[in-house]
Amino acid sequence: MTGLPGDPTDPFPTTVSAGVTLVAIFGACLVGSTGAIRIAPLLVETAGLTLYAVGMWSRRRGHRLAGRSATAVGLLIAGGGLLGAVALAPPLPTLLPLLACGLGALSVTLGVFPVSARVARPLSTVGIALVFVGVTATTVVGTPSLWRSAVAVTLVLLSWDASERAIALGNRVGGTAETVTVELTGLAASVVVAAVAIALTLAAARVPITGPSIIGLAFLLISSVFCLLALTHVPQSVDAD
Amino acid sequence: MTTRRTTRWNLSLAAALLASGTGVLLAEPTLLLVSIPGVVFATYSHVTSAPAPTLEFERSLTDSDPSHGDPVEVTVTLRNAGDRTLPSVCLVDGVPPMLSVRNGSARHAAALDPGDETTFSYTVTAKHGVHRFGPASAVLEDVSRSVEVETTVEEETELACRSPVRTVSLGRIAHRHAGATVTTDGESGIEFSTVRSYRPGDSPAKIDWNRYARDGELTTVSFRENRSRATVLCLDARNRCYRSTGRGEPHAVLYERAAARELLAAVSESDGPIGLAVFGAEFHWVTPNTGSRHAATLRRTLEDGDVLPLEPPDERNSDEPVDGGTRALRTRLDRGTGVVLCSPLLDDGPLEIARALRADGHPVTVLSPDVTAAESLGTDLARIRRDNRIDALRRASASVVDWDPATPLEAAIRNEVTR
Repeated sequence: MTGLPGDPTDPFPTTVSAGVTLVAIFGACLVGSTGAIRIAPLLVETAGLTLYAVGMWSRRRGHRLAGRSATAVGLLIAGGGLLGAVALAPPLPTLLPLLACGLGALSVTLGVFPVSARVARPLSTVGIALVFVGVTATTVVGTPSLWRSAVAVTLVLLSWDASERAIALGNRVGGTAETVTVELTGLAASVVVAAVAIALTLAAARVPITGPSIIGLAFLLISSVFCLLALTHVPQSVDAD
Repeated sequence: MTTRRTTRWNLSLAAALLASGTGVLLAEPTLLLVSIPGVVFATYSHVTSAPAPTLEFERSLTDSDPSHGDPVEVTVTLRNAGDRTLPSVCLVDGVPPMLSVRNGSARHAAALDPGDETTFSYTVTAKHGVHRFGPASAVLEDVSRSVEVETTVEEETELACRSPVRTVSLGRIAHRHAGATVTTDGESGIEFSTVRSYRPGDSPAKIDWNRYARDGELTTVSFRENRSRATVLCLDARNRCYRSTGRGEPHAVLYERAAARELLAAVSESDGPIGLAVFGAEFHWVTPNTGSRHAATLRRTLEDGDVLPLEPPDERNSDEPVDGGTRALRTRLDRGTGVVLCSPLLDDGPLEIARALRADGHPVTVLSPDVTAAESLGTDLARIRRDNRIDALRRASASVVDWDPATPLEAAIRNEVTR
């Protein structure tokens, strides 16, 4: 539901937010992973998916042949990266989070630079969920440093926000309409919130919890209140004037 | 105006609960910590306030009185008249349904600081008729996109694409086949016609007895029937008439409406009463009359979306035969009333109507906007069948104004009148 009458002729996700989505999701995958065996296939896939996204962008601007070639080559490289990870046969606890991140990034990319606008939201939602699972699993099995995990999870949330913005704006006003100011305003605010979230996570990690701690207790109380406040607003409320 | 709180950020809360729950289960403190970003994003959605709909809206046209097919640029300016920033305003302009956007987009999104304004333009192709722009719909969101406010902003704008008929009156079009000579048909009227010497067999009631008393001469007075000069505009708005030459092009009913409007404007003082009949999902009838108030009623009826909807009527009523409407029309028409039947002639229905009316002695003129296209074998066939119907109508002594909407209406009418 867009809240606006009719449908635009080109309801594809908007380019700026889609680009930010890709940057955030690739960043989440790479920052959240540890070890060359995890990072190398993801880097290859990132290169391939970036080429795919550039190809889709070119196709929408009329460069059909170059666009088709770039999307095809990009998908081949990304697939090659994922197959390479499987071929290396790392242990299962390493392979599964890696595949979750890889497949998730692929799904998000196909979602925000889709061939058909209808599949944009399902693909991006599934992809972000997979990357989230992959990043949290890596946090358990890969034991990366806390800042890497905090940044990775925050980037997943940021990419979700950006993808939702891209898809919603595309559904409302379409790809040919002017949307840059709206996108940049919203993304700037989300980046600030993301920075606050990372800082708060790192600050919370420094609170001593081995003994009695007033600060720790305060954090617990504040987070409980926020959690309750957030829960009281579920489900949605509708007011019509 | 509708205000709605969205559920999108609940997902971030769910992610935080999932991470912290897993962290507790696995006794992994890092997972507990990485749930904090989810809670922060969920909280962020609740600290932003709903945007106030303080929008001012202006719309201007480069030409409000264009010719058919001319491009018209529409410029829309949106201003934030409030004292708070509007981080997301999505707007869709109320483009009239029968105008197609040729260049640009009637949709726009912008972030507006207090006092800021944004302007966007798009181009529409003018089509016959008077087109009113509808209210523009807007959705305003707060910066976290957790509250949506749906509202409309309005400015009355009209694009009148006229094709005036100046040199031929409606009466002349409708009564072309009626002839200029007044007959004494039936001698049953009340209007004095002639006086002549008495002939055996003349009705005694028609003898001028006063003259006989005065001069002793028997004479017979004859009267002529008072022939009606009324005209009825009859519009064919059945489901099958909602056809156009292509995607984004107006359908035939819109052209019929535009033509009827121009014919109403071409009513001269010598023309008699004007009535209106519409064959649609239902039969609508406005009794012929004269005067400016009646003319306004006719114009209002033509603009009425219930009588002449812009969208095709329900499919279930699409196959309604014309018999019922024809019967209703024939019972309402006075003798000699001229009928101008507007129809694209895409089936034999109008042919049946015209033949029935001619059989009753009504002069019939068919004004037919051509919405056939030469795109495929099927459309070629439709065009040939339409041409055959025009020939059949002419053989049945009906006038046919074959109107290509790309040309002025008056030229098409003059072509027929001077045939």
